[in-house]
Amino acid sequence: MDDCGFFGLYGNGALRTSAATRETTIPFRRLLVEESHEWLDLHVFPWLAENLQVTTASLAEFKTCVREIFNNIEDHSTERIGCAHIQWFQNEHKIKISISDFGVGIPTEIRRTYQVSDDAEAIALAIREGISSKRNGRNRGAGLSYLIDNVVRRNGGSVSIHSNRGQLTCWPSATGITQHPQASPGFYPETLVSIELRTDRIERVEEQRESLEW
Amino acid sequence: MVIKVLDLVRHCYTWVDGEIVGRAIRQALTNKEKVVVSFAGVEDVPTSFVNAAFVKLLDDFSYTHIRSNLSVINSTRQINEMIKRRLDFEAKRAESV
Repeated sequence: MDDCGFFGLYGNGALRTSAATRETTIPFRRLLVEESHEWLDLHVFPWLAENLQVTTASLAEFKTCVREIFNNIEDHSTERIGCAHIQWFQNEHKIKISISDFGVGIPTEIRRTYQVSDDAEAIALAIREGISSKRNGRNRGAGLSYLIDNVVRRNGGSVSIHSNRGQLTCWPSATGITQHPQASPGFYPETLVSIELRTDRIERVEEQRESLEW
Repeated sequence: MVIKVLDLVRHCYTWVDGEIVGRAIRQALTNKEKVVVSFAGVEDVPTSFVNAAFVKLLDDFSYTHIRSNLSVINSTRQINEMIKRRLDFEAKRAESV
């Protein structure tokens, strides 16, 4: 936590004098939603592509997944700010991306439209395509569904969402995607989305243009 | 009619960007023109952009009409899959209502 800049951003500075950003880390960064898109285009994904030695086209779906989280902040959070951190675990062939917002949390939003028994159920409902707390919402309840489909089904990675008193973890299984909703031991006032990508499962794609075949 | 999205918007990040592109497509389809949308210079698009630019067309045109009169060129796998995914889902949802 010290090396990734957490205490520099949220405490009184680094705990250790030797604390320094590692080459495998994009340190904690607080971003306005409108800053996030160019940050992803110009900094994060070129950095990942270079480290993983793949084209940026190979990472396009995952970049969109992160964009979806920032657009959710735009659509659902009163504070248009997110906080992000990215860590590449080279030996484990994984990338972990964590993004938190400063809104009221998914369960609070979902309860404005749907009746749910607990916060974990609210999160499980929110990831279903077409479910949105806002009638005719801008992403029409498709953003989280797209995220989980691409990270879990396509890449074999996992996604965890913590919000209010609920958490939901999704991982791949023989039948597709296993979801595990559960009560959270603590209260997280906002929403934290943690993505774990498998770098050994990223499909190598050439940078090429194509036409849409209906 | 060819619509180059980056002639209309600086980037394709948000619903607002998509609305601008969607207005141009709707206008051309209303004028009974065949529309070619070029994504030259764009790598990826999120759901909000596609919902505003393409899914909202379903309010005025059938999915069959859109597929017959709209083509997408200079695109990427991600963009094409996103457009198809969102239109397929929303067209099916509209049918089931």
